[in-house]
Amino acid sequence: MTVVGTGYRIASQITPESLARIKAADKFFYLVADVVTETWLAGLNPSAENLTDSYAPGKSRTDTYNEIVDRILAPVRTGLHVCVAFYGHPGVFAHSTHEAIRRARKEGVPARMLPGISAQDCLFADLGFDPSDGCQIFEATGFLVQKPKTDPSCALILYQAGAIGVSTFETSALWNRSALQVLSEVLSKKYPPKHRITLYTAPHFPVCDPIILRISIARLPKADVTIATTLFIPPSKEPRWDDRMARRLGMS
Amino acid sequence: MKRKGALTVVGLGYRAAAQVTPEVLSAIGQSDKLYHLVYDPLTTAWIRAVHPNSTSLADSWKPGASVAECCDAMVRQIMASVRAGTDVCVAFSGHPTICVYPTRESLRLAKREGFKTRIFPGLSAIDCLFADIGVDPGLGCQIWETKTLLVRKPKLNPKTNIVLLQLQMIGRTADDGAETNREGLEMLRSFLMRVYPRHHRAAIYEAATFPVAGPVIQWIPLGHLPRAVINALSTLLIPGI
Ligand SMILES: C[S@@+](CC[C@H](N)C(=O)[O-])C[C@H]1O[C@@H](n2cnc3c(N)ncnc32)[C@H](O)[C@@H]1O
Ligand SMILES: C[S@@+](CC[C@H](N)C(=O)[O-])C[C@H]1O[C@@H](n2cnc3c(N)ncnc32)[C@H](O)[C@@H]1O
Repeated sequence: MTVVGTGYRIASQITPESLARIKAADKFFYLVADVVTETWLAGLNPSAENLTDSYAPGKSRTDTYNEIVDRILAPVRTGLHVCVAFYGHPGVFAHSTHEAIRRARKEGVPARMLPGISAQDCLFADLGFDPSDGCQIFEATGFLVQKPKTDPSCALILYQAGAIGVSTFETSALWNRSALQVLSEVLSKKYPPKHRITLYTAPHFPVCDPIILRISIARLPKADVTIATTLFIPPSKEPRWDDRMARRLGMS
Repeated sequence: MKRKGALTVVGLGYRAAAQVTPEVLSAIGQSDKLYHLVYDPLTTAWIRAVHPNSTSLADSWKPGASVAECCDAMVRQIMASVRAGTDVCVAFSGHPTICVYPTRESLRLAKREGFKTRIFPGLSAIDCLFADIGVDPGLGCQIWETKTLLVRKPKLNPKTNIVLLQLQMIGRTADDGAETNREGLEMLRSFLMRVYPRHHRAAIYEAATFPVAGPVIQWIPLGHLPRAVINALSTLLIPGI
């Protein structure tokens, strides 16, 4: 079994190694975020099967993830070479993929994940931000519920801000607007309310530009957030700088 | 009006041509001049085959010169071509804006001087690590260049995954080719020991740079970090406690 990622820009961000696995598979499944990508993938392999029908409005996403793992593993058990494609990177904020690999390996089937271009990869390129300067990444619901310690002198990326606290699947563009109020309040405790944050959406069409909205934290509850939005919160404080360490490391 | 001359920066991923995306391939094809800095001979050979006018930036590595001087030499070379009105493409291994000074500085200058700039993402060492070790950053993840971490001393959250780049460069100003850097690793160890128990296990990770090869993953207790065998390609993953 191989799990691959298709990136964001349709047919433009897939790697040759992933494309080769899709074409060579006996059975090919896909789960992506837009119809044109679906059409393209469906044409790559005659056995192509769309996994989206495992989602239904109101159905718990945990049930969906389990169902997807079972669907993928069924042909694997009969000895077929199975390939599964997800949009973005298949191992980034994707619940069923790591689990499917673990289960396949446990059953003695060789399983491998090939990386794909993720939302954060597109964000790093489009916003010109280098995460090696320090970057913290969380899923928005986990950020609000587990209250992890974060450092405002270091950039913060939040995934799934459009689906905070929603454990089912919905068809609307934004699944929970009222939670954005909560997120805005929580962020205001760590950052000044006027601190500017970026709402980022990578384009699926190769000719389109990304959507980059810069707003203050206070405006978040009314902002144009969808389930395809990733939040980028730049640092609000100057990072510390340990002079002695910098000298020891030859950096000053 | 934009000036004649343009700068496109692209990432090649790691496994020679196997991770080059179609948009990156076409950006390379459309350029008049290609500069590249990659870590392995197979990728270098592939680049020579796909572009008639390519130059490796590796010649800027002068023995004895500091990394900063070498990087400045790369920026000067890239910008000289852009300023001469050439449509320039710069290709690096991995993602082109993760932990790469020459692309960052060239992009800054080119934008300031009114040239058209574009960036196409590539698969980073971090992406390969997520896939090969089976880590999902969804449970929280922090990314740092190791020297920057040591100097900035952020409040680390040990419950999340932490990925550290450039392990081998701690405390070094020149790339002298030596394999392991015990003194640097010792400094990192003492910083990490403030938040982690000694026996907490971490992975020293090296993605395959050949299409069919597998990654090298070495698990060690953090307390043993100074004894670890590392090289210029080593990335450290510290899973959450
Ligand atoms: C279930 S995760 C899937 C992420 C995907 N596997 C990846 O590697 O990017 C969905 C989240 O990814 C981000 N996302 C999805 N589509 C996006 C887009 N077009 N632009 C930016 N972020 C996007 C959003 O944060 C969204 O809530
Ligand atoms: C100058 S940075 C460049 C990073 C690159 N732009 C990327 O996106 O992956 C060099 C660092 O990347 C990481 N790296 C480079 N090659 C690698 C490999 N084959 N496996 C794992 N990490 C690697 C190491 O941490 C190394 O010190």
